[in-house]
Amino acid sequence: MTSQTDIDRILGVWLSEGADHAPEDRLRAALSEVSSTSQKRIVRLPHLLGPSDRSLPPAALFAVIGVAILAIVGLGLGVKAGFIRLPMPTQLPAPASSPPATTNADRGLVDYRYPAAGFEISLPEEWNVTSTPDEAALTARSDATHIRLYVSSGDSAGRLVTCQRSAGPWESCEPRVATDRRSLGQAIAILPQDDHGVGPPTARLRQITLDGEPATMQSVVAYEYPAAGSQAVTWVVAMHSGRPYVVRLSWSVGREIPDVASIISGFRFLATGEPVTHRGPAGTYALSVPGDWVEPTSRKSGYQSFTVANGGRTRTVLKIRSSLPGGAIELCLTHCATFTDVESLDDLGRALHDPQLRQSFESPYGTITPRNGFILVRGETVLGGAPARFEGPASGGVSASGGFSDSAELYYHVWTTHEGVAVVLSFDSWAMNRGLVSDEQVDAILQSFRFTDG
Amino acid sequence: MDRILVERAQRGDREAFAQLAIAASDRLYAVALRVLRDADAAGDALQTALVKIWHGLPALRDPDRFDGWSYQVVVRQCHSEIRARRRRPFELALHMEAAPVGDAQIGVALRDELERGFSRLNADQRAVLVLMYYRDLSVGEIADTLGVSIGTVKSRLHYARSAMRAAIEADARPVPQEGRPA
Repeated sequence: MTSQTDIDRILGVWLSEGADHAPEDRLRAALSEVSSTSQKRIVRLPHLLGPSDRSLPPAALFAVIGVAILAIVGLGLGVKAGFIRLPMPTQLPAPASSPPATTNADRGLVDYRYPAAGFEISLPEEWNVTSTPDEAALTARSDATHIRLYVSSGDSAGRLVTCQRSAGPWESCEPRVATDRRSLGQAIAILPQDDHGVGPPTARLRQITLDGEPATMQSVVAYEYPAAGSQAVTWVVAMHSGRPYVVRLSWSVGREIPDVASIISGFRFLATGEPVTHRGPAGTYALSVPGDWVEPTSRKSGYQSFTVANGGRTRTVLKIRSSLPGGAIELCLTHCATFTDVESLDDLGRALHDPQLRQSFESPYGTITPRNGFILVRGETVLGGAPARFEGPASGGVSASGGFSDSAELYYHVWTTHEGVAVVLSFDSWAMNRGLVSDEQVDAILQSFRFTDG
Repeated sequence: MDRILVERAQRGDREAFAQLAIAASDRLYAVALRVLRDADAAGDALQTALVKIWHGLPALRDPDRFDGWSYQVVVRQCHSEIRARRRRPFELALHMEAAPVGDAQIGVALRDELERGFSRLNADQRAVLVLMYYRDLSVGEIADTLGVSIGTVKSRLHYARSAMRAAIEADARPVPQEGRPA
């Protein structure tokens, strides 16, 4: 017989196990939903009956109910006898001969656009999307069917993450590299499993099309006995414009995911080649960046940034700081500092080398002390018709000379001042060294930069 | 809990609500995870509960009751999650990963029995156990938190403890040997 003290102790230990921190994506998804929905306003009518009427005596209550019943019955009899006329609905105009084109909204579909990942997908309204458009992957769940959906694309180097959470030891969510359909097929291949004598599940392959591109669909069709065969998983993978794409559906309700074809049919690739023009904060400048670069909403004044897909995640590849309304400018490397009286290119250059911007910080690997000695290129140029300067580690070759180009504070800076407005463009050196941002893209962005009237 | 934040959120201030949600999400998730024993389901419960809390805030008459009321919302959501998952014919048996610290104190077999015993409880009974043994609340505090009477809490606690005791003792029973006794 177990004593009560033992049970209390066991339950205490057992229930203390497990995570104590809420997953950030769930919190973010809830706040995102809250940001787009209004509260249900409570309209209280406490005084319609007056305070003394709240507790009506039973006789009075019966009298009120009786009058109400008589009124309803009387109304019904009156309508039947024909001496009370109820208002008839207004005659609607006849429909036009050619019905208007049906939109996705008319069909109860919602479009989710993920520019950084280069796709959009239309899903029924009851789908609950838990990711945000500036992320590199879409995650969603259908409240009606409990199907889970994950859509992602690889970066220009082919780095791809094919799932958010693996369905079993036979599936890996580690980043893979897929540069053609063959390597893409390998990225979703069922992994060998020899644990407890149970092999991996059996999968079926089919060749289909995904928004016009040849695609491979792989579905789990059977689990080896005695493994629990309850998780249905289907992947659809395709290449488009040199990037790999994956659509993954999972379902723990049955063995064959319903409506796969209709979900897949809502997927569309986005054209990524054409540059898109963005205006800076307060409209002081404008510049064009590649169409698949995403500008996250910024809450800071005098700050603008752009992200690109990076192997299932996003990375900020360009940060632009510009003068605040009072004339000062905030610059950030490992730390931020605000500089006033920045009137010339020299002032801005000195500010970028201010030790306040490069302070030690704690990281999972220990204390990092940034250094300031890696400037390999430096010179003068023109930006938006105004004299400008640049400096930074040279792209290519830098990572081979010690790997310091991966440091948190290394950027390729270009700065200028024009009619009292200072602007600093900082390109991420890490992204440039890995081909996420090419030299040609940097040149095109700098050439597109222009000051505007605000 | 900041009463002023709750009042601001009741008036529709989303920034105040975001602060409240960030502050409350860990404790709500921890309770949901322990009641549901499934990280995915707990995440679903938390996400839906936070949205329901936002919608329901204007109806909360006493802002000081926010903490307890938010537990009520998340426990109700756990109810829904359990019901939804029971409707599914092929449910995966997903258990939380055991923390290393627990391994030394609770055996693997006992842990399985605890999971099994716990899965037979309804969400209300699970919530009472979680609030008592994980949140260290007294019977009176649990009653106040869940908005039920002390008698109801005691009744749920009695049933839940009995079920868990049965599960623990099942683990302690000797395994029957094959063959007939001589």
